[in-house]
Amino acid sequence: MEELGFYSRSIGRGRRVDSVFIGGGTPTILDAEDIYRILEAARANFAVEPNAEITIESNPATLTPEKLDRYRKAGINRISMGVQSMDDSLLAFMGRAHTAQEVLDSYRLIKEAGFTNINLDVMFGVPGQTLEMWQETVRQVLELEPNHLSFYSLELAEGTQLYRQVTEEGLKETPTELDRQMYHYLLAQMKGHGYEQYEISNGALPGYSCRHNLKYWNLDEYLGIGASAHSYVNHVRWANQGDIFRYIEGVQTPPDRKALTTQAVDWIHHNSLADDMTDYAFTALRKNRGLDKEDFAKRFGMDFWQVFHGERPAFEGFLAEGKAAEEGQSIRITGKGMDMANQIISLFVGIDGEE
Amino acid sequence: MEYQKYIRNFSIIAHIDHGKSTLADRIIEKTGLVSKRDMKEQFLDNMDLERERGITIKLQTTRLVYTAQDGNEYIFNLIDTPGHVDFTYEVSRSLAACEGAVLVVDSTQGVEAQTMANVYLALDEDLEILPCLNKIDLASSRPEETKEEIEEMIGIDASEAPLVSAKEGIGIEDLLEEVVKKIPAPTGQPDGKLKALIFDSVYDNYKGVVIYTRIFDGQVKVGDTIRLMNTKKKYEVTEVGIMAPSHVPTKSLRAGEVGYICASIKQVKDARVGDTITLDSDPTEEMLPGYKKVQSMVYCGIYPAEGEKYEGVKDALEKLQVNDAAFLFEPETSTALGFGFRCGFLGLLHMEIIVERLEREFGLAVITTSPSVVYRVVLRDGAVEMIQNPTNLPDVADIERIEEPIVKADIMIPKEYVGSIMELCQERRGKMIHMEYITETRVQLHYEMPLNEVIYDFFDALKSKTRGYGSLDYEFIRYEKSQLVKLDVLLNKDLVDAFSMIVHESKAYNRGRFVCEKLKEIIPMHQFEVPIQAAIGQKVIARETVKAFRKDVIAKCYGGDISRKKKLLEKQKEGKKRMRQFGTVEVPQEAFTAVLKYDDNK
Repeated sequence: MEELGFYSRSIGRGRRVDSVFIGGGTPTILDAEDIYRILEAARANFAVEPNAEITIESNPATLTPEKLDRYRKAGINRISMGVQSMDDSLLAFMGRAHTAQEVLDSYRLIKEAGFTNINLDVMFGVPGQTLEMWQETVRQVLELEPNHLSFYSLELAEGTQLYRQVTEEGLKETPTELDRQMYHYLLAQMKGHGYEQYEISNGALPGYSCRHNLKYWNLDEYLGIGASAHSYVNHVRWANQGDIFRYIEGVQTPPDRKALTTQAVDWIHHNSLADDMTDYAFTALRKNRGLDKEDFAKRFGMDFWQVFHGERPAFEGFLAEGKAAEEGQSIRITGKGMDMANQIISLFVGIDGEE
Repeated sequence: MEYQKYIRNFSIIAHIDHGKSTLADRIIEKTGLVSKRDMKEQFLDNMDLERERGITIKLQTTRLVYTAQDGNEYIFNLIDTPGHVDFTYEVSRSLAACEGAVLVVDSTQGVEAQTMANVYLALDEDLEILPCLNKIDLASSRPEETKEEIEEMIGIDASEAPLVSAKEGIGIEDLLEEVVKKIPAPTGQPDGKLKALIFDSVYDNYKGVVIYTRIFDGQVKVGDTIRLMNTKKKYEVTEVGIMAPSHVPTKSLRAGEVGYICASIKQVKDARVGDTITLDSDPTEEMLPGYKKVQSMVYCGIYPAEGEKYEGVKDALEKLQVNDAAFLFEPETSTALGFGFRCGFLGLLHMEIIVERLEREFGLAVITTSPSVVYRVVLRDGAVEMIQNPTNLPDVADIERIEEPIVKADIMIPKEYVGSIMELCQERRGKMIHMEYITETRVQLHYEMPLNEVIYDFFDALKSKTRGYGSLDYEFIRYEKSQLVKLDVLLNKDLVDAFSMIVHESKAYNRGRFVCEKLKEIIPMHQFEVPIQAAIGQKVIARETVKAFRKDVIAKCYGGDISRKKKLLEKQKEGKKRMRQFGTVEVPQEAFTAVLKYDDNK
């Protein structure tokens, strides 16, 4: 609340908020009442649009009709649920606290509570996951007809049990070929069911792209509240402390006069023009529609290819291979190029002379 | 003359880590010439690199004054010696400047390989060996056993060996007394013709080359014209003095003394270690024995890395050579790597040090490879070409025969290794000529071997198989016809001449397989499969494949990921820049050394 108050004073004036995202770990563990109060505070401090997209992330086993009802009353209009898999043994292996049945039950509750904008997260490339398991998960998930799907290859994070198992106990990672097979299988199935992939790892029924996440990929501004939250405002990026106690201490410490941020910040980086331009390219190319040269010129006052002229020959190589496309004002990575997206995105992460 | 009675010239020899340097520090401390305050740890090691590796590379000698129990003042010239096997010649010349040697043996470890190697060197110089047992302060010290070991293995009486702890400063006085009693005084002729030994030479920015010398007969002073007998050069002396430990000029240096001479000499290679100094006006008839020209044991090619300038490397090599007479180099080219140098070193450590100094002191990025030897190619039309670069090998159809340089190799080893060394030499296509026992325990083998089998890691293999005891000396004798072939490496079907090599037919398959395997490990995945092939002419004799990279994408990228993940990608991009592009394939710089470092035992 304090943090919201601070930012409302420092940067809130005149700004309109059209998306709110409650995420993190598992926000649905909180008391529904707390969620309600947080949203009230947000609305009190900022001009939240009436038709703003307001999402809460949830875990299947933590939802109840009462909670969902409170969420609706609080103005939440979108639920994102971490399914990962519809295979119980795989879920147990991954250390998830829910079962496939709980997914179905929760989904039903969400619908019954009146939500009409639902996202489901699924994961592939998990060690031990077979193509058949994946196909079954995909089938069941699509059967539920969620509005939006987020799909990820498992990323091994240091310090997790899976990481240890792979690095120290000889657990075999999913072979790259299978991982890609799973990915493309889903894409094909999604297409068949009327979903549009709009980003490397996201797809939705027409009109249901996630407004919030698109801000990241359009280099729009966002303000992060809470421990570990990230922000991008006025060309400045910053992140809050991860440690909850440090965060609390920081927020309660009187901030510097005229400071842009609270004292709960872990790091701040002032984006140079080059930073902005490369951030823009780095994220925009993740979208299927890619980046728009006209928009680039409007925002940065420079011609895209003038800035990245050094990379033109390499880019043309990708064009020739069919991995990238340049049509009119758009530059994008094609379906063919997506598996190797980094090759193309790498071209635009630095500007010669600025590195 | 009388004064020589009060001089003791000696060195400290020991196995690495047995405490030589600490002991030297203690001795310096005890004799009062350098106060405790000024003592920098392990005083005699004077280069940063050395400090890091914990070994002595460059020599530094000090003159000390010791007041013995008999009330007299003695001058101790403590001559430091490098501890590493690569510098045997330098060690032997430093020992030649002494009358005795204090042999330090770690009483917790006993007599070890390098101890023996150094003892042999000292015995070869007829030095009086004074054993001394170090580290007696440790619980694991076994002095009686160590004394026995010394007596058995070296054959010298160790019953009166001082028991010392250099670290704790115990027994140092005893040791010094023994030095006075046991190590002989010099007995030269101060009025005789000047005969002095160069046991080290160092380049100083202000004084030019400083020669460290032991005067055997005669004397030298400022203004004298000296003649270096082996290099036959003459110089006028500008300064003489002693090391105490910094340079202290004196009027002259006389027989029996150790000191330095400056004579406007520009390069250390002009004042070669082991050479004899005499007066030009009244030269001595006989040179001191033991002088040897530099013999490189190990060669490598040094090329400027991507983005580095040739001139910078050349400059740096020249500077390094100023103070390292044992380091040789000459220009060389490679079609793939460009213009570079072929460099000769005393051994692998010597090479590693030079390369490290290039990188650290001069901030240069270099690629090191190993070149081939010079082959003599006789063509069908009678013409003869000397080929060093495999890519210059004429068309096979035009070649009548290829001859390779053969050397005679003298290998000295303890007798228990005869079997394994004979095997090693055979593996390296050596032909045994003769074998004899030098002592009860030491054997000398005489082999004729192709030089290309000797130059890179034969010396290393010899040392490792004999646990450091073995030594090698070789000399070119002739060119001999041989079944040699050119082994090529193709990456993605393109010939990469940087990897081409001339090998003996019998080794081609193994070498080809090895290279392919190594490259497969080192070459990163590309977007396409990369076939690696080793071929002789058109015939592919080995192959490996680097699989294609099927996935290179960041799955998740939300608000909190952008900074971090973009940075990661930037780093990856930078990393790629350090690769060399050969046709369609990117090859990291390590590939060259890894491939050309052929280790058949590992």
